[in-house]
Amino acid sequence: MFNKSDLIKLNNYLWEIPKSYRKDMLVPARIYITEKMLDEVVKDRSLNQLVNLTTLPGIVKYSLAMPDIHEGYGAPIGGVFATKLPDGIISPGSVGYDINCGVRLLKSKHTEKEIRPYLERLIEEIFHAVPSGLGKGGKFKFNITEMDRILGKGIEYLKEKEYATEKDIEHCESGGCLKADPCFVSDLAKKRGRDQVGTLGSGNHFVEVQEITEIYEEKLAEELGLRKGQVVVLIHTGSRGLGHQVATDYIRLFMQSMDKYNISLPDRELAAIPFSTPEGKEYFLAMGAAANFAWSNRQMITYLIRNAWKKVLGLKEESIDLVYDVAHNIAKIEEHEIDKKKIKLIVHRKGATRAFPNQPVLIPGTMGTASYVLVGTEKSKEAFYTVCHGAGRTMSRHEAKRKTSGREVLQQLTKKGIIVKSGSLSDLAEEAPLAYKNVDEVVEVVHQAGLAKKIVQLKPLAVIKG
Amino acid sequence: MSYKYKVLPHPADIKLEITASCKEDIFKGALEGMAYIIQPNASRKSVLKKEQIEIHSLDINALLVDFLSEVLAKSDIYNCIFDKVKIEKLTDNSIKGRLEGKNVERFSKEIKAVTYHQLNINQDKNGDWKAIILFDI
Repeated sequence: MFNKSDLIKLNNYLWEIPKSYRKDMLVPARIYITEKMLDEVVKDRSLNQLVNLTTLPGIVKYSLAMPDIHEGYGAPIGGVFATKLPDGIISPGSVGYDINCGVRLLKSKHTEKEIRPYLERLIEEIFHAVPSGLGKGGKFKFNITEMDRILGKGIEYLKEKEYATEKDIEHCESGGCLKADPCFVSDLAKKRGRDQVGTLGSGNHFVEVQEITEIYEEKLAEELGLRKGQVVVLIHTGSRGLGHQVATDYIRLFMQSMDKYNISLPDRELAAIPFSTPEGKEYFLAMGAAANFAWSNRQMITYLIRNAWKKVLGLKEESIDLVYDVAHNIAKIEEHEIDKKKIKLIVHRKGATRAFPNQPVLIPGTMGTASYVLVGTEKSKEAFYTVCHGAGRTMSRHEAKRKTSGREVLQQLTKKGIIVKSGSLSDLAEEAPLAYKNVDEVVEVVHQAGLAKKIVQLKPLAVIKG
Repeated sequence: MSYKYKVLPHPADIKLEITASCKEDIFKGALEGMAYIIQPNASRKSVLKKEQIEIHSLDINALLVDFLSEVLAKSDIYNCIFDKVKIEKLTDNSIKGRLEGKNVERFSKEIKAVTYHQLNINQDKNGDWKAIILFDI
């Protein structure tokens, strides 16, 4: 475990673990956090996991952690690092199993007052339309040829099938499609995914109907089409069983290949080999396919929500537009400035969000707390244009269930006027707001550090938990 | 039965500790423990699904993870809980056997993956075999 004295305070929101801390470190490690929050972070193994990232061959500058950091496996959640192309490593373990788990924000034309009379029916309709929980297949079952097209083309294919619009593609990170090759996705993965497009899953995945309660930057909010009192929908889910299987397949392959490339790591779960190897390139194209699947999943959920909205409000036409869609578990090739030269890097983000200048950034809170829309700034180049991805857990699921019950969480949310739909009371307890850090404090760190600017605050009106 | 398992807390995920009298029972205990996490209240009144399984891996630690990962994928595809295995052959890098389970309508919890994180199957001074597996939830 770490002592706070092992870290150097660079400013009120940034701390460094120097390269001298451990012999095998190739670069320092940095964490964006306040001193008060750091006191909690040193209690688990997340900083050891952050230091492990600094040993990865080809890493540049430093490994980074965002204020929502918490202990994971391999890389910590909230961990970011970049390696040099072509010989730096690529690490499926540092992307995680839920490839392109991410968040999508939709905006309606209505205010909270207009929607309130329909809210109960609306959330009931969405709950029935979007399969959540486990073991329930979705409404759409794609054959292998269709699956390959989803994996290869992402939302572009769904536009051909009229499930998506050109505007949806424009408002999605990377246009909802990464370079991919479905041939590198196993049949097992495809079988797991074929009835999961348009399904929410479980755990911390959700659909929330929210209201915009605060505007911090009028002009930027207006540019995004967001105004106070407006009703929006936030979706959080990923690549489901297909992505989990792609990660499982390649972590296994990489572990078998590390000896061949003389790679030795402090935690085998990091499973990393040079990008330039055949296995490295294959994983990148398979990961791209899983990412396309995740974007397609969030797109089909959008399609189902649009239909539910029209049905409940009794409208023939209703425009529910996409504000933005971001990934927070992914590895991408990007150009960044290193030693005053622009070079191509493989940026790994595990529980962290890309935040290019002026790009919308979506930070969900917990069931009972606020969520935020921010935009990236030029200053975030020091963090490979990255910010946090959520509040970040602060206690185990076991402890959360010891401290509260699903029924109690339900009562507390109902008291606040929030409608809750969930297949499992136990999951509600595990995902209770008390199990997470204070999202307001987390977002304030990235805002004060200058990595992104707060634009609007959202508060939940109704929640569907997977 | 010469194994037992216990679910341990973890900040974000779930850990399972298995104690057994032999390596074979580590595999049996891990399988039953994983089934318990996915569906703690499952009854075993009827066995409906039987599946052959054969895995080859780098070493005994990777074998346990790869075995459980394969079971997890089969559970997902067939909507099945597999909680028993008849092991026909087990070496330090291969396992062959027959899984037994039953169909379910839904699972209680989703395990995204079985991780290799700090897994080390070892024997303590009393001769008991131990393993702690971290599941990504």
